[in-house]
Amino acid sequence: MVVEVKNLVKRYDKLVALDHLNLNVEEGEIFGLLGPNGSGKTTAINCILSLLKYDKGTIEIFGKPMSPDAYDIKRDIGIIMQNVAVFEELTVYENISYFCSLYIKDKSEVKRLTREAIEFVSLEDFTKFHPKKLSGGLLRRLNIACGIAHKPKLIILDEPTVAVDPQSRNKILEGIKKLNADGATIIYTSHYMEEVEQLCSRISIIDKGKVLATGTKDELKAMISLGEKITVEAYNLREEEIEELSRLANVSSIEYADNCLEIKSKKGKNNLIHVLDYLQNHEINFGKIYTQMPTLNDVFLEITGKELRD
Amino acid sequence: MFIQLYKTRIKCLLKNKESIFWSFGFPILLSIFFSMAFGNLTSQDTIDTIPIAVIKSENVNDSFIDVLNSMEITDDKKLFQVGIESKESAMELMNQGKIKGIIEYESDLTLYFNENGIEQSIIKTIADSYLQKSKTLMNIATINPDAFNQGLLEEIVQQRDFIVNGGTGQKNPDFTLIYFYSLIAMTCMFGCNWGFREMIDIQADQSAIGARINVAPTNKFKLLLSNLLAAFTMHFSSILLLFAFLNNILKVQFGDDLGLIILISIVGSLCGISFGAFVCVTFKINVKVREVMLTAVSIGGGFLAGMMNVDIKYLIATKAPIIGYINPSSLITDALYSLYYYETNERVFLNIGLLSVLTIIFVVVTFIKIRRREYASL
Ligand SMILES: Nc1ncnc2c1ncn2[C@@H]1O[C@H](COP(=O)(O)OP(=O)(O)OP(=O)(O)O)[C@@H](O)[C@H]1O
Ligand SMILES: [Mg+2]
Repeated sequence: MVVEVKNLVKRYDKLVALDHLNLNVEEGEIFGLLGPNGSGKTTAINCILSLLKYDKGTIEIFGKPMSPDAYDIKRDIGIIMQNVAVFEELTVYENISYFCSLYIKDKSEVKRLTREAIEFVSLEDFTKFHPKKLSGGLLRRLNIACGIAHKPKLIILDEPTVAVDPQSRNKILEGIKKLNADGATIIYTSHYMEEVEQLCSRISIIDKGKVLATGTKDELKAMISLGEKITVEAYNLREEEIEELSRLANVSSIEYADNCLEIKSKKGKNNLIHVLDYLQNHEINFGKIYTQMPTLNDVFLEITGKELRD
Repeated sequence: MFIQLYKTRIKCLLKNKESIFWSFGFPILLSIFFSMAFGNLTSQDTIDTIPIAVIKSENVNDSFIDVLNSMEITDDKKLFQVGIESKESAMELMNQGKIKGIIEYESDLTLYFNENGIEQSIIKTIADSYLQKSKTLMNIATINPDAFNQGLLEEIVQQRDFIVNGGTGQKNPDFTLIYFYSLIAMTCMFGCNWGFREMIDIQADQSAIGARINVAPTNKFKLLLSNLLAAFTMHFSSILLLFAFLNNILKVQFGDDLGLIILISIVGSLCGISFGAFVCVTFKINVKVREVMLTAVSIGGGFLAGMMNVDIKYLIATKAPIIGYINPSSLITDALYSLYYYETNERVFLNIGLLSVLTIIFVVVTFIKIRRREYASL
């Protein structure tokens, strides 16, 4: 076990930000912490890093209890915070090298690792730039380079793609996969379910400081009662037609708005044929039609009764 | 590693243009401004006997001339060298620069000057108080002519105390020095900006950089020490530069004891830096508000120490002496002035001692506050 969090409780005055939170991160995985804004992701990360005092619970990293001066543990952790943390006065190269030198004593080793980190985030053309001169996406990449230059075994990324353009975002996601392939264990927090689905091997969904469900994305989807979702572009449906459609065998719910019909099926059942039959038999005009498997958003919706993103 | 961290930190601080300007540029600009305001400073290094002319008239009697003649800078150095001239020849002499001012005493007392400097303000001060005193004298004289013999004249003569204040007779007092010394004091206190920045950058609940540093496997106090050392290096250099500029370019006089001057600037710099650190960790309020506090204390403290108006210093000393003891700028100014003026260094050490006590309080409070290693809230 790389990280083991047990019954973590953190209060800010009266607000309970983490409520008996439990997390287990295994070696070599990309672990996703998925939750809406304010669910406690950053708070959890800061507790794990011993930055924040917490009220209850235990935290072990690499099998040892974590504390502010557990330097042997900290040496193997890389952290990329939600907020960019670099020195305005230093260049790209100097920033990376400075933070690297907080971890590595040997000077030539720091040099080598700094070069590698710059290559890794493709900032070769910007080594002499100051952070102010970098675009948002490039700045994020610098922030990442500062966190991973020392080749940590455990890398924690707290929403590294917030406010990042798609090009940089893809680069970042690819980078994370590569770091993982090179042997690092990753903890990744986000409220973008697409990212988490695409990236993470295991996911905990959290809300209001509690873990609601943990598993691979297929396991999570298997937990809920929903199956596929059928979306049909249908024109001028009448009330009674919708009513009849909703009574079809495996339909669990139905919605119709703006000429768009959305039919959710029960888990493991196939509905498409019946729906098409009905539309043809009643000579209803329809355009595009497509089906989708449930997403993590559906999982979240079913567990909490609200959307992951509003 | 320590040296590496120190070097990077220096690099970082060097590139902070704002701090550099306030520490290195601003005090020098201000000192140039002061020196322009006070005219040619070199002539004020020591006050020499001031040549003046008094214009012949009925009112100008012996007692008036006696008063002027009896004023002394030191026991063997007169304040004025008085010549009695006609108005034309007096004007002529002043235009040639041979005299510094002209006193005309008709129905009223009129002064003529060609320039404005410390000599002229001395002439004016003396003339004003003569006028005031002599009016009292006249009134008393009409009632009791004997009053002349009862030491009133001596009291007028004591006007010189206004200028020579308990001196040793070795040096001339020079209040313009207070302006420059309090400028140095203010510059020392500008160190608070360096100290402030260091504390912001090392605390996880104050900056994102602080958070990043706190997760690194580096001893926080070791890092803080290297960073504060870098800050001190920068700050102390700015003080030395200011000293060099004042002494060599503007010819401002300092005491002879170079060792003590350096000691004062070291303790003063440390006091400034630690004050900034103290404010940063003690008041957990908006950064901008804390920065305003620092500016208020460093500039306001300089003001109270006499930077804009020497009288303020004396007002504080008589009306609210406690402020003088807890205002680091006052202590630094006073230490420098005592070093220049008094023969013994007791007062210098008293000031350095008080300054050290303040510094130690700042350091201890700061240390206690940041010793805690986990934060309640980020
Ligand atoms: N310093 C603080 N003081 C008081 N409450 C706080 C503090 N920091 C966070 N909170 C509260 O704790 C809860 C969890 O916040 P946290 O920042 O951990 O959420 P998050 O999941 O990281 O959200 P986001 O996706 O917006 O980053 C929120 O309700 C937040 O308002
Ligand atoms: Mg967050």
